[in-house]
Order: sequence, then C-alpha cells, then structure tokens
Amino acid sequence: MDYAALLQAGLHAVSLWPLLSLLAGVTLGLVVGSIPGLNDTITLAVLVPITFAMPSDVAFPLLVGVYCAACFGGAFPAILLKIPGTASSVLTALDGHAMVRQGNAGRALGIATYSSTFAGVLSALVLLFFAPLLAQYALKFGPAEYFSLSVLGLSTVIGMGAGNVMKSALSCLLGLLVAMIGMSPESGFPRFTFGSFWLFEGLPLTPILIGLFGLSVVFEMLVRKPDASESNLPGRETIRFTDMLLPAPLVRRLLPTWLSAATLGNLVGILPGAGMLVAIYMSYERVRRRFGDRCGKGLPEGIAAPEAANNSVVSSSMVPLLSLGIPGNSTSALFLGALLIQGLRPGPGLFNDSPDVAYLIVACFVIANLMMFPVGLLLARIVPNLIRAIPQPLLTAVIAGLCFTGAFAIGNSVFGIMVALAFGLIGFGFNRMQVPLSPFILALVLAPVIERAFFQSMSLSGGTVSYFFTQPLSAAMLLFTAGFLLWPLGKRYVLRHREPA
Amino acid sequence: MNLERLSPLSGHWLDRVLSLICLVLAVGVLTVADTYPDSAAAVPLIVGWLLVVCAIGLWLFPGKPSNTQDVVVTRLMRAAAILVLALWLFGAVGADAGVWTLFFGCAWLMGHVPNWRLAVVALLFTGVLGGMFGGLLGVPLQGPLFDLFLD
Repeated sequence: MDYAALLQAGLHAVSLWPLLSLLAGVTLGLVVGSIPGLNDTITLAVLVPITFAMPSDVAFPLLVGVYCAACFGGAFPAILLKIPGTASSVLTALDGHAMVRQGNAGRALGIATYSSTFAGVLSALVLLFFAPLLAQYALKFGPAEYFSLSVLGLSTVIGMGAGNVMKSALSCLLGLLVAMIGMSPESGFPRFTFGSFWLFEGLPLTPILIGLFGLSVVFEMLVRKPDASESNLPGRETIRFTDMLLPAPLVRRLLPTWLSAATLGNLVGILPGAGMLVAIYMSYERVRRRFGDRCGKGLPEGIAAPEAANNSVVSSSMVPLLSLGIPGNSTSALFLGALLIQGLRPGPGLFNDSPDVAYLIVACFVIANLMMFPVGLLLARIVPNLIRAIPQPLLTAVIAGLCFTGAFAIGNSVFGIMVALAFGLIGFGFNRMQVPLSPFILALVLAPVIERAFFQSMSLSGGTVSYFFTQPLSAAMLLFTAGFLLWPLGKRYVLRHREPA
Repeated sequence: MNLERLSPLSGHWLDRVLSLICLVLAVGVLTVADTYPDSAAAVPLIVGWLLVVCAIGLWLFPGKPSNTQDVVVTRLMRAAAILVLALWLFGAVGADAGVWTLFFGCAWLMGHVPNWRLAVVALLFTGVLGGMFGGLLGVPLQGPLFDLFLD
C-alpha cells in the first residue's frame, strides 16, 4: 500500500470542498434514502451525469456520501412507517416498527444509527486495506483469471439471487446481448447495429443506467396512485434525542451482533454479484435462530443485525470495483460509470495510475461513515416532518426532469434520452415481473471483459479451452462458478428432504 | 375499473409471455449472428442458445405471480405519452420546452392541480436546470428560452 498517497488523499478529503461535498452527499443520501420509493441507485443515476463536469475531488465525495448514507436512510421510514425506504431495510422494519409501537421510536432509530456507523466504518477499513492489496495481486492476473473471475461474478448473481433462477439467468443473458451491440472487441465487426450510425459505438452506459434506475422509478410512480401512509408518522416530539444515545450496557450487548453481521456483510460484499439482501437475510437468520419468537417483537438485535449487514456491504462492494474493475452490485456499476466519465480506468492499475483519486475514494468511505453518526442523529428527528413536507408530484417531476436532462447532457444528443426512455420501460417491466436488475447490469458491464479475456486466452493457448482449467486460480474460480450455478438445485434438494422431518 | 387493470395477465401468464418474447429474441439473435464472421459470431451464438434454454426453462418453471394489480393501463399510457412528447420537444423545439412539458405533465399525472402556479414552478425548475447545466457544469442546453436568457 502506498501510505504516502493514502495520507495525502486523507488530508485532501478533509479539506474544504471535498468535505463539504461529502457532507452534502451524506445529507442528501439520508434524505433520499428515507423517502419511500427512492434509494441510492436512483440518486446516483441522477447524479452521475451531473458530476461529469465537476472536478473529481468534488464529484467522488458527493457520490460516496450518497451511497453510504442512502442505505442507512432507508431505516428511518422502515422503523417509523414500517415502509422500507430501500430494499435493504426490509427486515429492519419488523423489529424497528415494533419498538415504535411500544413507544421506543428514539431507541430504535439510535440502534439503527449506531449499527450502521459501526459496520460502515469497519467495512470502509476493509476497503482501505483490501482494495490496494487485491489490486497489487491482480496485476499478476492473466486473461484466463479475468475470464473466470467475470464468469464467477455472473454466476454468483444468478445463483445467490433471491427470486426465480430462470429470471436471473434471463436478465443476465439480456445484459450480455445488449452489451454486444456495436463493434466486436475482437474483430471490430459491427454486431446488431442494423446499419444505424448511432449503434456502431454500442449503447452508452450512463443513459442505460439512468433509464434502468431513474426513469423506471418515475414510471413506477406515475402508473399508480400514491398511498397516504405518511399520515401515520409519529410526531417529532415522540422522538427524543436522549433516547437515541444508547447506554453502554446496550452497546456491549449489541457488539457481538454488530461484529457477526459486519463480518458476513463484508464477505458477501467483496464477492462480486452476491448482493446485499443475502447478507441481510443471513445475519437476521442468525438472530432469529438465537432469539426465536422474540424476533419481530421489538428486539434490539433485530434492528442491529440487518442494519450492520447492509451498511457493511456498501463499502466492501467497492473492493472488486476499485481493485479488479468488476462492480460488486448495481450501485457500484453506477460508480463504474462515474469513474469512466471522469476519464479513469477502474481496475488493478487504478491505484498505480491515479493514486490520488483511488485513495481519495477510499478515504471518503471512511469519513462518510463517521459522518453518518452525527448527521443521522440530527436528521432522525427531522425526517418524519420532511417526508410529510415533500410533495410527491413535484418530487416525481424533478426526478424525471433530471433524468431526461442528464441523459441528454452525456452525449449532447436526443439519442441518450431515447436510450434512457427505452431502458426505463425495460426496468419498469423487469421490476413488475420480478426480474432482478443486478444480473443485467453486471452482465452489461462484464461482457466486454469476458469476450476480450476469452479470445486472449484462446490466442495464448492456441485455441484450447482446457487452458482455463490448467491455470490454478482460474480453475478454482470456475469450480466456484459451477458451485454457485448448482446452488439453487442443491438448496431445493435440501429443503425438500428437510420438510418431512 | 377492472378493465383498466392488468390483472388477467398477472402471475404465471406474464412469465410465459416473457418466455415467448425471449424465444423470439433468441431466434432473431441466432439468425442474425449466423451471418457474422466466426470471431464476431461466437459469443452471440452462445448467448442465443442459452436464451433458448432459459426461455424454455421459464415456460416450464414460471415464477411467483407478478405484482401488476395496481398498474392502471390508462395511467401507463398517459405517462408514456408525456415522456414521448417531452422527448420529441427536446429534439424539435429545445431542451427548455422538453423539460417544462415533462415537469408539468409528471406533476399533473401525480395529482397536482394543473394551474398557473404549477406552470410557474415548472418554468422555474426549467430555468434552474438550464442554469445548472449551462453555468455550473459547462454543458449548455439549447432552446428558445435558454438562448434568450442564458447566453
């Protein structure tokens, strides 16, 4: 690790503009995360095109702040309204809202804040130590290892997905197909362009992301009437600041839960494609096994486990992106878009070629997670009123306007909006049919890596497919790939045999 | 009201429609990729065949019923019309006309009363967006209003 560069980046991160940008990002992330229906991906989809004209030391702190805090912000409506602001807060709602009904809203929000901060800082430290280390090691990777790693990422997102495996696989294949539009990376032959000049360069990534994560949400808001659940919000007076500060015995009691959930979250986060929900469900399941029927009835561990797990996935999911150039989830795919439009190449070379930016991003993750604690405690009391005050019609209109203009501004052409609109409809359809978006995005980003690495390996080995199995690391990764693809079958078999007992 | 909803297509039926769409797409991919040189065709052909397998798999093992109960078709049509109109205005008239229409249309569809106040708010938002992209970010947006005030 380049300690001098890290120190320099750390000092730069706490200078005026990066720090202000980070604070703005954390605040925005918390507010956006707490609005039901909005999340980190839609905010980043809207922000990425806006940041491309900003200097990198302002753009990345803003994006990092939003990414870290939006996940935590989702806990506010989950606890107060039993409406998860983000998918990552689904399980927080169970025990969190039960505590609110018992009159302990402040304590529930305090547990969420402490858990998120503790796990967030821990995973930011994991990112700090592992990303440069892995990048150093990955410099030795050949095309076979890159091919196997990318395929492993796709198999993880298919095999570990929460829903129907066929739909995950379909989503992945459609992503691969969309990525193939344009010149072939091997021969330069135009594929699926149908003579259109616009398609020769392939479909632009950022408008696709804006469509899938931004406009799809706009569609979602426009096609159904908004519900009036905000009227059930507890008032500001019911959330006392002193309640949110946890007593030392409770902190000591929650510490083992935080540690185990954060460990799980970090392991899942580093694995490309595994997804946040896996970590959350696994850590909550551990709590459920330990406490049995007390779960879901206002148990502090029931809030601590999912909140620690989801926040530890946030920073650790950046490890594969910054060190290998492979996004760990949809949100880090948006980060990939931001890095690309800033003219940077994520991957093993990032820490050598642009150490200032790479270490700045890492340092920002640590600071953003620390910042979440005071900002979270301050905003927790304001959020209920804020959710009431934001008019949903104008919010939808603002998001739609930002998505359209962002998609236009990327290439200064209407083609960007057409792409965003088309993928907005696709994203809406995917959401409705419960087809996961993560495999699509991951496949879209990894397709060129897979194809290039495949042909390079073939050329190195003289066209022998067994080459992938003769390289030890590549063979191990392909073995894991097979394991992940067979996992759903194995799980079904185990469940079927467990039922009669 | 029931006629407006997509419920007859919900559940497994929608998955089967998706499976058919994918099958047709796969046939298209295989047909088109077959005309490419070997190096360009290899991966699309693999993806095409895997799509066939997946489409058949989804037909045989459809997922849980899809959640389409609260989708109102008329609202979907109106939303699509507003977005397409805004897209057309972006290209034909200018970014200002497109953004204004989009803002006004979306807010109206979400339940805001379509009065002069909304028109003014939409105009203000358009101005802020034009100023932000043109002034702060250095990406000037074109349009009659922007050309008049933001140059």
